[in-house]
Amino acid sequence: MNDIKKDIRAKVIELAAQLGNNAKSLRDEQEIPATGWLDSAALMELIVWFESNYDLSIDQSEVTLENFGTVNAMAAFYERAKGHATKEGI
Amino acid sequence: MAKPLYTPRVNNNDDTVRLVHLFVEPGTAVRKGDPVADVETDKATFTVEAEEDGFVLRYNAAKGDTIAVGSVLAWVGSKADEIGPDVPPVNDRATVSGSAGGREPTLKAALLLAQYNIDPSDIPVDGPRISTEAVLGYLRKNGLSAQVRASEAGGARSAPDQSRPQESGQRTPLSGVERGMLRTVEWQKREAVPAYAEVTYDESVWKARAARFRSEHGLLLDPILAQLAWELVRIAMRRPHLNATVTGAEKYAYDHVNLGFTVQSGQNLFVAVVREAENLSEIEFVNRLSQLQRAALKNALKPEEASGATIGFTSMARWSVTRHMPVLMPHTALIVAHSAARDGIAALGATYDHRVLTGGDVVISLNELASAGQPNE
Repeated sequence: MNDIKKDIRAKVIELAAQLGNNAKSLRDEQEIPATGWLDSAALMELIVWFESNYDLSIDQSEVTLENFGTVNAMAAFYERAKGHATKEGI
Repeated sequence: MAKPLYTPRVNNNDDTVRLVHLFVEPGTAVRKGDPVADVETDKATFTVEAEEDGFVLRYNAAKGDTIAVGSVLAWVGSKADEIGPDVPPVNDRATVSGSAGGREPTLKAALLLAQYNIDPSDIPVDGPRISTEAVLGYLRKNGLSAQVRASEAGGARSAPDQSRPQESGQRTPLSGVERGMLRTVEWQKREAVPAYAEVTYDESVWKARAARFRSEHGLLLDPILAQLAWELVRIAMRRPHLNATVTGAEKYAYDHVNLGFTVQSGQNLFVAVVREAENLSEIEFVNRLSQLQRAALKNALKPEEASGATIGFTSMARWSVTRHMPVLMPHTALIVAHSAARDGIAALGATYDHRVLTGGDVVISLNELASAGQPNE
């Protein structure tokens, strides 16, 4: 779980840097869109990276602030998705 | 009924071309204007596009083959399982031209014939080859004088650039995405009469609308661009001439509003197309566009999701660009350009095809779009 959060933070910092923003002080509970460090296109890139990096298939209806608004929320989403996949024997 | 797709003449002096790339497998659906194959000579490459919607039934040559100009390159039918006529792969069109005395058109004449979809056999005999003057005379005689003026002024389909840079450098084939960009730019250069207009507006009003919508639906992403695009669709429904183009001497009003939205992915620029957008609610449109943008970022747009735009929208606001004049998407008359605000005031611009729209049409529509950020009374 901590590794996932670390990876997500690193990706946010990388994407923010591409826009000239320093996101190194990002906290896990901090709402990422509200920081202004990532614009919508960068947030979209973050979701696409998350989906690809963790081999997940994310339905459009799941792309919400609740599921992806913070590092904590993203890590929890991963845990739920992984748990669901394990339960179904995938 | 299957129809032939002919091998074009790329250079005036080359009677054969090499088939270097096939864009689609036999049985694949294509829409008018979709790339089907690339042919080249030592001097230039030319992309052969589908002349109408249908299915590529089969190719009459294989990649790498040298084929005759005017021969049938491929057959396109209305059904995937249709069987095309069994025609020899060479000199087919020369036979067709033969009914007009076996004359081949000059390069410019061939481009005009293709542009206006004229059968060479319709052109009266005036020499050993079909000349540009003969084609222009035919256009005049058939009431297409406006097109003649455009052609004479250089508005006709231009020949592929055969010039070479004088300085040393490396040659690299264009990627599929780069070829798509080239086709888009060349369509505007060849077919449209582009013009630009813009209005300014108070961005805070639209931002407030987007913030309300985002909060109401718990959206992760700022929906402002998608909402602007959705409002453009509504305006195009009220003003159908925005959702139209010109082909030959006819105006072509589209049955549906297919909103093309530019998406930058790394070095590539894609167009994600929300088809039949007039049937979607605002939230459905926002979600559909978001889904397509994700697919574009993964380079996973399906052909039907990346083609068929009837009206366009683009933004360069993320790069703090305060004004830009985009290129029209092929067979569209309008693309709206969203830009970053300066001191709270932003420009909403549009490139439009002056053959279809007037500056007045466009400014009225842009003002409607700008003021759509206001809450409903």
